[in-house]
Amino acid sequence: MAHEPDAVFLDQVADRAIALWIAGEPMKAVDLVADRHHLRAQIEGIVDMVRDAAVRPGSRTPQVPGYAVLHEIGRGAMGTVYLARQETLRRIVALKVLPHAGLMDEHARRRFLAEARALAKLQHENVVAVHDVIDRDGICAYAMEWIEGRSLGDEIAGRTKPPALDVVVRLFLEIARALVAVHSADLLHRDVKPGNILIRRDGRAVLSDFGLVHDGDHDTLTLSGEFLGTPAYAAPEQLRGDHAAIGPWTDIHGLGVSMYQRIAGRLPFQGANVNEFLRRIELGECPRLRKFAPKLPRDLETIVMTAMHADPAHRYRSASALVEDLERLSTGHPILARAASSWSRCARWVSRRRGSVLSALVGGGLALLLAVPVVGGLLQRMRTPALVAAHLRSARLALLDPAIGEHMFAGVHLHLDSSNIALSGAIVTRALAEYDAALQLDPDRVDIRAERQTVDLARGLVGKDCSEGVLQALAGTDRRRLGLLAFLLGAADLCTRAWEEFDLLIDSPDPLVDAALGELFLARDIGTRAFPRLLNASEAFPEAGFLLVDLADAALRSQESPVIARHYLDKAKAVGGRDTFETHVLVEADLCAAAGEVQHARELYEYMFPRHVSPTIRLHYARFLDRQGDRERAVCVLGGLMHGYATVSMHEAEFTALTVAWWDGMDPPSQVAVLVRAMGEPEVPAYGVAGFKTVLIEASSRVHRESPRSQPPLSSSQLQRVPLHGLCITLELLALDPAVLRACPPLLQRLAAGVALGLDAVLAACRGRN
Amino acid sequence: MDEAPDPLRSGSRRSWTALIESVGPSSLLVVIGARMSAALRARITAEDVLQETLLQAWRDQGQCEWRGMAEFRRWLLQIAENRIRGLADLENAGKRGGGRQQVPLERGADSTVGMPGLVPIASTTPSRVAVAKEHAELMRSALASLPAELVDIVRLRLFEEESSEVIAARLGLGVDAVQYRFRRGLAIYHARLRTLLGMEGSRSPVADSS
Repeated sequence: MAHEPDAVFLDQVADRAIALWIAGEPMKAVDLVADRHHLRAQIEGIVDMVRDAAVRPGSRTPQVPGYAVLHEIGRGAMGTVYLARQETLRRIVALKVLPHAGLMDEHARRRFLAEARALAKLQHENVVAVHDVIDRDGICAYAMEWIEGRSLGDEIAGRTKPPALDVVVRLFLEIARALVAVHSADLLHRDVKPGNILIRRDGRAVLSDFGLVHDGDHDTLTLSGEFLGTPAYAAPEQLRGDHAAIGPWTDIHGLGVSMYQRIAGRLPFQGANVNEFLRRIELGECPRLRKFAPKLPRDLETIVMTAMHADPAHRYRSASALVEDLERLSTGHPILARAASSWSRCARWVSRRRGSVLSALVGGGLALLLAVPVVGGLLQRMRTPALVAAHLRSARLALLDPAIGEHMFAGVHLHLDSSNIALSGAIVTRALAEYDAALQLDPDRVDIRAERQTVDLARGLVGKDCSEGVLQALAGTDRRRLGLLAFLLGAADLCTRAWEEFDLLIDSPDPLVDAALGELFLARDIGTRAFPRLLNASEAFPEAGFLLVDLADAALRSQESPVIARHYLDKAKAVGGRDTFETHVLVEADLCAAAGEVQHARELYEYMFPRHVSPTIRLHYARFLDRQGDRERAVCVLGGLMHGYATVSMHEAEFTALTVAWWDGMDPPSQVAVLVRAMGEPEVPAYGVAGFKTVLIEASSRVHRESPRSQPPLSSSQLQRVPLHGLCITLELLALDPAVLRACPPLLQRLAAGVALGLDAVLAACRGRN
Repeated sequence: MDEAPDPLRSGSRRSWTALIESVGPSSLLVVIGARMSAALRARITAEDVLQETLLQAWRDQGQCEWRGMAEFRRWLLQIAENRIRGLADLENAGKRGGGRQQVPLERGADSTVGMPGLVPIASTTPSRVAVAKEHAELMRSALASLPAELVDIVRLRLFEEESSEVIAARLGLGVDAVQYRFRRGLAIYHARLRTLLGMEGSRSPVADSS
């Protein structure tokens, strides 16, 4: 820089400092001083000011001697992890920094350094290596090897199909070996979970994040009774805070739970609330792993379940024992752990539920089912009906695909012409293939043939005249056929009528009709009628996870106990399957709302809201907001529903009530504030203003006629003095147009009254702004 | 020398969340809010635009080449800018009788259904956005307290991270003038922010020099 005046030099320093900060480069006053040493104090002040005023935390990278910090990659209770370059060796490392080390209490600082020292002792290919420990100049940090890859947690979250079991076993074995190394160094990890198991790009697993490690060589840093760990993966002794009972078997429990989750795709312990959740961990109550992975080798199930046994005495006592059994499994040798016998499992179950079991035995007795093997042609003949039934079930399940259900929403909410609806070709093809397979096994099934013909007919009708009369003519007197045609073509009302009539004629439930009608009643928000239908259907189609989700939904809407809804939702998750529209998330949100978990519910609704264009989501979210007292947002959310659809008569009354409640809930100054807020609109939609003025005049006249003592009716000249384009914007906020507004007299009256009341204030406010 | 890993290729939700937090969602809110017209702000909040921006960024991260935090932030702001323009176009269409849309039954390009893995909720949870909003309000207040001739410069330099040369060209000033105003604006902004945060503000050493 040329020798300009000091003031100009300082301006340039500030500019240079901010440029360094933006680029993420170290910003040191000593580098900016140049030859102006007399300005050093002011330059240091500028650097501090830039750092202080930084608008993004990412630029506030710590200055760690010997390292160029690149950016933050993670944050936890025990420090922040950054990607950094070690300057001497020019290698990329993960740098874990204890923030504000100089200000932290000694306990936290000692724990952090203990973690670093403990890790530095370990040299194992499956344990993240520590390269360096820094404890100077107010900085506490340690540099670890940077692992390129993903965590096991990310793999589980991104799971689209069950994992290959040999890969799972190898991963299990590698981490178990890591634990052998950790425990041999007299250390305990205490937070073994998928998030702390990293998988390199070459597939090798590495145990990381020793934030809670306990070093037996040093003073105990955990206070007695203090829980450390992640609850979902914690062993019972950890949850109790019983540190005397914690040992290597505790880490093994965490690994067992992680492996369960990897195989099953879900956590083993779940509960409707925290207490139930913790109780299940304490008692070791979880579904058998083979329920989610039927082809899982029994020995592997035994190993996992032994690893996560609630009683440490029945768990692997050492990681070496676990390694041995995994190696035996890998090489085809018998494992040493023994599965809990049916009797012992039963005994444990009974001991926990002694009363209820006893009453069940007294009430119903025991039943034994014997499977008798049959050979030859007789076996073949016995198997065929089952196979036919399986194909028929698959065909019907295809027709119940949620994508078809979307047509029902369109039919119920949008009253769209069914010729506009494109029946999914893939779904129909799948269904027809299953019908054909069934008919190949049993060509004499006229009912299957008829059903197949109906589906084929529906496919041919897409884009053609599908009026009610046409469909009735095609179906004749066959109500079932008519209902199916209407169902596939989105004629919701006709479908409901036809199948309700059909239902009256039959002696036993028809699962397809039950499922479809259940969906229709759910679309109509009639939970009490949907629930029994969907219950029947879910028993007939136990593999249809989406039916269970809808059943949970119906349970909630029909005011059943949330526990029942939770039961079905959990069952749905266990069953799995496609949930293209993530309905389970919506039901989960509703359940959380019902359970009073407001924040969680809000997060789930907010997650759904921008992702899926669905009237149901808007409706549920708006209702939630209304219950939370956020009526303004509820009006906007529900207004979006009214705004985007041709006719929404079904929810108009609800929308009107909500909007009226919102408007009534505000005092006149607040109402004026809403109107004034809308006044910023620079452009005037002329047709809107004229239309609204006319409507307001009509409404205020009506109000005055009905209540002569009320404000005199508004006149055109009065309204002309007010820039009512802002009110039109208010209407747009309410997602109404004048035609719809006319249908909501109560709202209109209130708006008119509000305008009349606030007219002077609005005028004054407008004058003030001008 | 080891190449620094590309954080956009990790596929990890946790990495993505940390990345977004490093970018400073609060400051993004300030920038987004400043770029929205009053009419647009009446229909949709800056927080909504931010959420939509982050969702789209997550979906399109494969198209972004990692060139450092500053470039990544610029990319995000470009997405936000495009979103704001799109909303403004829709607003204008709606005023002229268009814009009422039927809900498409077929999933279009904007659909996030079927994306591999879930969008990291942590980037866009209401609680996080609420915190960002609160911080953004503080920053906006501090910014609004500046003299008129300093506001744009501080906003463009500190929030939008434009260079002095670009700002000078945009505002028709010399680079020296921009630097001069920035230093003074920064000092006032800094002092004001500390006051809003309830911290005892020390006199900026910059204020002593002229």
